[in-house]
Amino acid sequence: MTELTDFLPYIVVVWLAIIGLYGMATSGNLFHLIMCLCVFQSSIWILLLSIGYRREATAPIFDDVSPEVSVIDPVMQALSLTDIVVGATIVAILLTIAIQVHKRLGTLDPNQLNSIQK
Amino acid sequence: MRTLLVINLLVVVIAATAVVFTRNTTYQAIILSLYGFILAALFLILHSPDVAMAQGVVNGIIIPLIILLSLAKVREREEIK
Amino acid sequence: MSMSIRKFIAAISAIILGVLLAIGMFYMPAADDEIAAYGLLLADLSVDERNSMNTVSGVLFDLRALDTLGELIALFTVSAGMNIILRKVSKEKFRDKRLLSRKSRPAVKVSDTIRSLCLALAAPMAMYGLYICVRGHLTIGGGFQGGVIIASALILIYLAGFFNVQEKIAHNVILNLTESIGMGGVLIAGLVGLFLTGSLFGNILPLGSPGDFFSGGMIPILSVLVGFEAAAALALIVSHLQSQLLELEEKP
Repeated sequence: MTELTDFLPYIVVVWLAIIGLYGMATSGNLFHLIMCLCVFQSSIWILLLSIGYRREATAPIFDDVSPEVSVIDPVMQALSLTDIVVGATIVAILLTIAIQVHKRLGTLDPNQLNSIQK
Repeated sequence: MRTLLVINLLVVVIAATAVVFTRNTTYQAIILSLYGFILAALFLILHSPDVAMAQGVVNGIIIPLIILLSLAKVREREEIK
Repeated sequence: MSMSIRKFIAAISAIILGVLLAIGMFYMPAADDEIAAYGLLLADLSVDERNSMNTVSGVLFDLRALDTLGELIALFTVSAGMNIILRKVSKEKFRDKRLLSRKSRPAVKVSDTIRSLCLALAAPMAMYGLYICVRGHLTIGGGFQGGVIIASALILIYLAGFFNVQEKIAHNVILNLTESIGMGGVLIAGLVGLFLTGSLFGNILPLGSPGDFFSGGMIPILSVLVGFEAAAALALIVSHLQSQLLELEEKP
């Protein structure tokens, strides 16, 4: 039977996505923008994991359970594990670009990056 | 288990909103670290221990650390000016 | 455009997007269906045909190792490319190298408690990361988790205030060598599989018996190599940003 709490993770995903995008759109600081991007990324991990989540099932690791029990989708876990580590590199490359912008233009405010100077 | 899931999802929502609406970037990095650990707990409840392990280290330690290092670099340049 | 107008427009569009996303979410699979056929198939395959008790490792390092290769290339490229993006601009100059030694550098004072705890924990943490790496096919663990734990062991040395020691490790060939071994090893393992079995990352080692330490064919080996690559890449990312802070200063 489908219950309302089954859809709660998806509602949380929607909230995280829109709050992250709102923070990115109204940000006045490049570092603040990068951290809002982290929030937006996390919505994707929760989405992937809740697609694979089953209430009655257990983790897909068979070292102490018999192979007949139903398990959670391992593909979704592998995907989100990959994305977490790639997300760290995305944040790193964005941070280097922010540092370089500050070195060259002396500002971190995206509103003041109107024209490409120098 | 379901009660835990609902409580943890509520905490995730509160922490994410706190990350977005904190304007001081230093405090924001600390809250982001806390948010990473809360997400790791959520992944454990969603029966994904592998993902929780990587999440706790990457979003709890490494990302806030590199953000703080970049903030220190930028702040040092602003102090000189 | 002023900030208040921008906030208003952003809020309106975020609400519209949220409603559309929420409508779409009701077509997502509920928590009591069968899981997707592909996931079920891969879970069975990794236990029955690869002897990997942890199906996530089985998917990551054997059945869908091509995705892992793509991710490793992303890690490798970022850790190499950061050095190019973070180059010195004309306003900056290198600090005097002698000032970098810990005694004369006006660094933040680290209390003795933190220093001794960090130094005491660094080596066990690296060992624990390796341990997580090598038993990825048996129970919870695997290359990525172990790799990030090894990287955080290096960060502990930095937190203890020993910038020189950490710089010695980071700027030495050790990290670059580790990263190259990880990346090259994964590529060679994939190509050897391709030539011997006809498919990229094909299994060429005996599978052993399930639950044994020496089982799973290529999974433990690939897991350790991926752990090396992830650890070295993240440590290099941290050390690039750190060297910006510690080595460069603005021209007066």
